[in-house]
Amino acid sequence: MAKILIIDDDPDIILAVQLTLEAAGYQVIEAHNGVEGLKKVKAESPDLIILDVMMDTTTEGFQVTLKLRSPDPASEYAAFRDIPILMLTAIHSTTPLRFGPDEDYLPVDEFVDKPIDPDNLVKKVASLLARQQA
Amino acid sequence: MNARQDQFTALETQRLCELSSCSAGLIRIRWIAGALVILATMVLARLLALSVPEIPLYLTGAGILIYNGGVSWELRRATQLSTSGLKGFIQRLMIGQLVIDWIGLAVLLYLTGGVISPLVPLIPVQVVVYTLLVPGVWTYAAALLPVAALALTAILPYAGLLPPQSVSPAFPASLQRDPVYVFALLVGAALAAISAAYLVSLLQESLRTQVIRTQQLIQSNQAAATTIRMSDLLDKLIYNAAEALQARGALLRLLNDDGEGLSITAACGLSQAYQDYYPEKLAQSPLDREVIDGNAVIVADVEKDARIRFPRHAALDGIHSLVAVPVVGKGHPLGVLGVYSTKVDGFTPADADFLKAFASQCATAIENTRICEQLEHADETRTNFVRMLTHELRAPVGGAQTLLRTLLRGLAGELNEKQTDILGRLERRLDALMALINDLLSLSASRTVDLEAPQEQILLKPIVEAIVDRFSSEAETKQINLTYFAVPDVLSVQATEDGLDRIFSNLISNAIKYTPEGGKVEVTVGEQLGKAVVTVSDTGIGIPLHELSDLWVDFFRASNARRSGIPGTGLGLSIVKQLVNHFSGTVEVRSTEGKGTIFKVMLPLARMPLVNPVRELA
Repeated sequence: MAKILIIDDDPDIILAVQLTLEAAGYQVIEAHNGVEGLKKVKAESPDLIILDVMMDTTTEGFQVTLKLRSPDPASEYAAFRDIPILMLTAIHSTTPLRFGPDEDYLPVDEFVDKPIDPDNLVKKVASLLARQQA
Repeated sequence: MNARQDQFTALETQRLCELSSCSAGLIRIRWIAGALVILATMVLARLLALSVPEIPLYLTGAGILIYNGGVSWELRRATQLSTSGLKGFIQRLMIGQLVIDWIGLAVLLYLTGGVISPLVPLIPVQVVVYTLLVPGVWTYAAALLPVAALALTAILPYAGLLPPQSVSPAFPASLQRDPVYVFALLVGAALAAISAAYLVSLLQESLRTQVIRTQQLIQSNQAAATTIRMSDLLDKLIYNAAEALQARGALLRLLNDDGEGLSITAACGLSQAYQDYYPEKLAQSPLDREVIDGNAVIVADVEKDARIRFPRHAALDGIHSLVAVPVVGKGHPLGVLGVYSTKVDGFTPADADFLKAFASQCATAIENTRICEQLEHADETRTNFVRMLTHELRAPVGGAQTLLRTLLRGLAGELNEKQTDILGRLERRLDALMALINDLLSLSASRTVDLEAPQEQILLKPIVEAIVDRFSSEAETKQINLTYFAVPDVLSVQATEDGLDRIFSNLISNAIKYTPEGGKVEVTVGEQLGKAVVTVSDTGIGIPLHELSDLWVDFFRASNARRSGIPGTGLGLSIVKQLVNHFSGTVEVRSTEGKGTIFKVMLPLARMPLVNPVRELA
């Protein structure tokens, strides 16, 4: 049973993601901010991380990603560099910013727009985990 | 520092204009004079059979005409000269004309009898012409030249150097030899010449002043209409003010926010050292205090006026007098406009009144700019508020939508039919609310960030293709046949990528939204009359004919769209229109209610930059 970490400051989103993924047979652990999220990555070593792009500060999601994916071999998260990251965004449809998974700038693997569609979320999680195992 | 010395001052330019228009007038007079000399000689010699020196007079008349032809040809050449060359050229031409005209008059007077010539009344004409042409102290000397010509025609025959002439026996030749008559005539003529010169230069001076003032006022009006930056406009206005009063320089100082001091906002013709000496605090400057209180102040001599605290600084720039008037906004003082002269007693109360016209132009410029800034600021605040609000609204509504979807999907337990129905209604209401929030956010974003983003040449087809791709799954779900067709040509337009994305995703998403299942949506990209054309057509519900004109208004939704129950905000098309206009394009719509709609966006094609634009111009 794959272990999924959700990092989001909105408890309602956490609840919804939890309900959705647990129904699909995954184990879900939660974190409410970036610092707690990074601690849980180390403690729980999840198989996949779902990360909200904008938490209390608009850059928190980016910072967590950059720490996890740091190319520095001495990084304390070096062991977790390959955990797939799925980013929750609310800005695709409204701001001029467009992102896609980008090796250099924002090294995440997949995006899901809010509001989250349960089927879409499950589909993307499954495909990321499958890719990881392949 | 002092740019005014490098260029023509208004006064010089005005003199040049006077000289060339004077030349033109003289040429017209000379054509008539030459013709009249020949005609009059013919009448006298042939019809009246009088003994006049016929041949010399014909020659003089012909000489005047030929020489006049030369002058008018030369003057025409002047139009091809540069401004700097023009001054010297016109002056040389003037001196040439003065000399030859003088010789012409002298010869005519001599041939027609000198002091008893019936042509003596021509002398005042030449006096006036010379007074007009010769500036300054030389005016009076020039005015006496025609009188000198008359004197020569009396002296030379008297001394036996030339044979005396007479046109008619009615003029007694003995008068030519009468010293009393000759002397009295010459003195009278000289007095008349001096008085004429005085009156003419007086008139000319006041006329010139008025002309210059009018010109400067016209120029400053034009500047006010065409100058966008306030600082540029104020620079021009005070330059015009200094020119209009024929002064050395001008200074515009505006009240600080605290109302306690003045800061220099625009300056011309004055050294930095002079500007620096100005006290900033009103309390230190009784003169400024007086002006701010609403009075025009004239200082006739800076060295003798107690209100001038540092006359030595004024002397550095050669300033001897000044006039200062208040710049008054809507009922409250804004600052002080001063004009400075190198002459003692350089300004009259009329000058101060005139300067007030410039002060009020400055006030208008300043107030307009301030109002504009306030409006811009208010608009920015409003837009930021809307953005903040919509961002804050999105989070809770998005959270509620997400929770609701997990409920509806049965992830929190099975729901009965009634519960599913109620939650479905709830979901539709929330979706509509989210759409409204998104459109509001998009609208406020398009009014700020987007319209200011730099435009670049963008290939149109990849953008449209990507949007069609993005909507293909949505179309599939609704069983709508979404097709895309583009001409093979490379089409690029001047725009922003995000702006184009917004335009076409709005149109395509609308088409899919308002087309029933099994319908068709077609997107084409092509070129027509040098413009890129993108059409989005559908077989949807259409728009009632009488509502087509309201389509682009914020929040407008067609009545059948509202009845359809399809969520929408009526902002999408207003955003489309705004962006298309911003990219200098046009958008048209044709629609038949119940059959379908076609939107046609036309954008100017971006041209490749010219390889050598300079050569292109030449």
